[in-house]
Amino acid sequence: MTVTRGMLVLFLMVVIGVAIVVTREESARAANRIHKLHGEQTAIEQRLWKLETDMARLRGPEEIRRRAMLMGLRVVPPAARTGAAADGRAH
Amino acid sequence: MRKRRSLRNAQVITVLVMAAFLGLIGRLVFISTHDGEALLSRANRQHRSVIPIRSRRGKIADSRGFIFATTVLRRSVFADPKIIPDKQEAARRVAAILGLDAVELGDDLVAAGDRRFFVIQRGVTEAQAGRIRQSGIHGLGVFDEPARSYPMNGIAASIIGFVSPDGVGVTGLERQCDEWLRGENGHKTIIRDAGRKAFWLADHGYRPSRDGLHLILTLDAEIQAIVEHELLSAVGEYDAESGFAIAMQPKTGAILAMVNVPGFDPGRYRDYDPERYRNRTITDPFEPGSTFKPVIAAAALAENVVRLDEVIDCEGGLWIVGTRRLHDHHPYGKLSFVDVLVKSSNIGMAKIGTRLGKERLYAYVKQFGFGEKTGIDLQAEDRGILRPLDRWDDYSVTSVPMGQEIAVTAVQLVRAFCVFANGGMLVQPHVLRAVLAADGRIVNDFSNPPPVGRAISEEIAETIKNKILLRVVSSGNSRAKLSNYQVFGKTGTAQIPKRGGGGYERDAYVGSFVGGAPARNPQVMVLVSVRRPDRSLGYYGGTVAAPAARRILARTLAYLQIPPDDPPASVNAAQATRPVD
Repeated sequence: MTVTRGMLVLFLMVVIGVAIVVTREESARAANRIHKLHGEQTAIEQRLWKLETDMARLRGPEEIRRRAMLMGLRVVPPAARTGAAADGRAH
Repeated sequence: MRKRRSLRNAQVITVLVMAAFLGLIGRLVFISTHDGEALLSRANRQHRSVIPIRSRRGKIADSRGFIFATTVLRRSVFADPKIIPDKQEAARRVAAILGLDAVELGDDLVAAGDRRFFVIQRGVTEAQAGRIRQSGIHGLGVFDEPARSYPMNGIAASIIGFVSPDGVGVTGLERQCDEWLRGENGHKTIIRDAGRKAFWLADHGYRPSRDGLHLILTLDAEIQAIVEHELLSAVGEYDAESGFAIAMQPKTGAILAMVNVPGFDPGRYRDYDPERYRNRTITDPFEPGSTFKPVIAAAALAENVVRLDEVIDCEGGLWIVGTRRLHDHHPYGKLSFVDVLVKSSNIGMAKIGTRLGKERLYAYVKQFGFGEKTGIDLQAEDRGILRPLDRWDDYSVTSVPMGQEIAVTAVQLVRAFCVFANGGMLVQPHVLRAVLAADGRIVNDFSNPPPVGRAISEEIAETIKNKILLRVVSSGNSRAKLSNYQVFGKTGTAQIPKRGGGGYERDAYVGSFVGGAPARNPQVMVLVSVRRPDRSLGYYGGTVAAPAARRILARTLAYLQIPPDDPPASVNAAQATRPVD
């Protein structure tokens, strides 16, 4: 075996080693990014769930009635507004 | 010569390199065969962490998608007591941030010993979580966990139920449908560097969570709120112990509202007496009193033991049968069969019961679904009390037609009245409408279950509704009457039996009204029962329950935009059904 051949073998081994390191580094970077994205996804989900709950609370009939009263509005069923006795007044 | 030396040097280097590699390979073989497993598991313990990915519990929503129950992420503070260097000092600092008792927290941390996970407080604010992180106290952390939220607070609480702090259904639909709602947790396995920083997702280390299924109910949050509001008013006005009410679609058996007063807030269930968790409309049978009379009237007409225009002697208010004395609330002489029901004569009904006889009476009571569970899709339903025929005595044929010697649940009674509203069919009461996957796909469709069977003929049902129940409400000064809808129904006032038998409690009543509207094409059937009202304020069903039922019907029909039967001349139907803007 000549020195040149020996050097070539060493060089190839170094190249393969570097390639492995670079691949591993890329994989690690990607895994880290996935991990971070999961974290972000959780944070966004948390906000989404909270907003969804807030909206459900605001859409609730009792909450609508309460806010209407605070604003000085009367929530009246449509038939009652037309003069029919849908407000339940008995004969 | 020089060339040969150079060649030898190269050979020596190559041999050395090869020897080094062989040495390394040998060492590798030695490690992996000798204590490789132990080292691998130690490395895994040091570098790998399995992080659970929590599934989201399914939502529970009404028929229009308004949410009764959902899940939010709650921020909580935990400690790893094993690695906290000074527990008392840590407790002092944490308590100051979270507003806790420092001494108590310190004792708890000491008592936790070597536990690796101890929850200090659940549901902390964002600001508190930030301050905990900045404090830099070793062994302390913040984590997120799913928590159940009930955005409409107490609305429909006894049907929805609640979950324990660890997310398991305890009562109501939360418990009954736990398997559908809970979903399946996932996990991810990450590899950490020496600084415990995650830098690698392990091979096959990711399994996503599967969110729970959503429940869509037949309840309508708006109608539920209306019924709750009106029932609460009635219970308050008559200083009653409790009350319950149901609104149902008579043709499908879909429950629009189901209310128990007093109720509770499922988000703070620990603050309430567990007695309030029960859905008493299906668990607590009661004597129906006069509300039971239309059932017997239908049986009598079906068996031709009485004619509508037949006159019945009501004995001036006192009838002695054997050793038993029967009374009417008001003394009546001769009444037509229709008036026996309109005026709710006990004596008149007792006579009709006698004509029917035990066997036929029992058969029709069963045919209307009494004495058996309705099969409603809610747990803990009671079958009521209907004694077997061989345990009926000679007086049973006079007691049962008055709504005594029998106990029914609210859902049984309202379903029996649906028979008169839908042409004689015994419908299947139901609360579940559908089960949806997280992506909105329908997994199970429970809407429109087939009817259980026919209770009476269409003709008899129409007769009872139009000739009797309509007159009960339209004649006299019934408090269930509406000016623009024809309401049909029946009141009832029953005494509460003593626990363990032996007669009735003194001055303890259940006042009820069951009815529906519009009579022409019934869309809603309502039952209201007020239990143990203050007698000095009123206790008759017509006084304590009928006004609440009237207000419920009025508001519900307006909300559902049902055209009035007879709109005032100045108002046309289009105006009367104009939606709220």
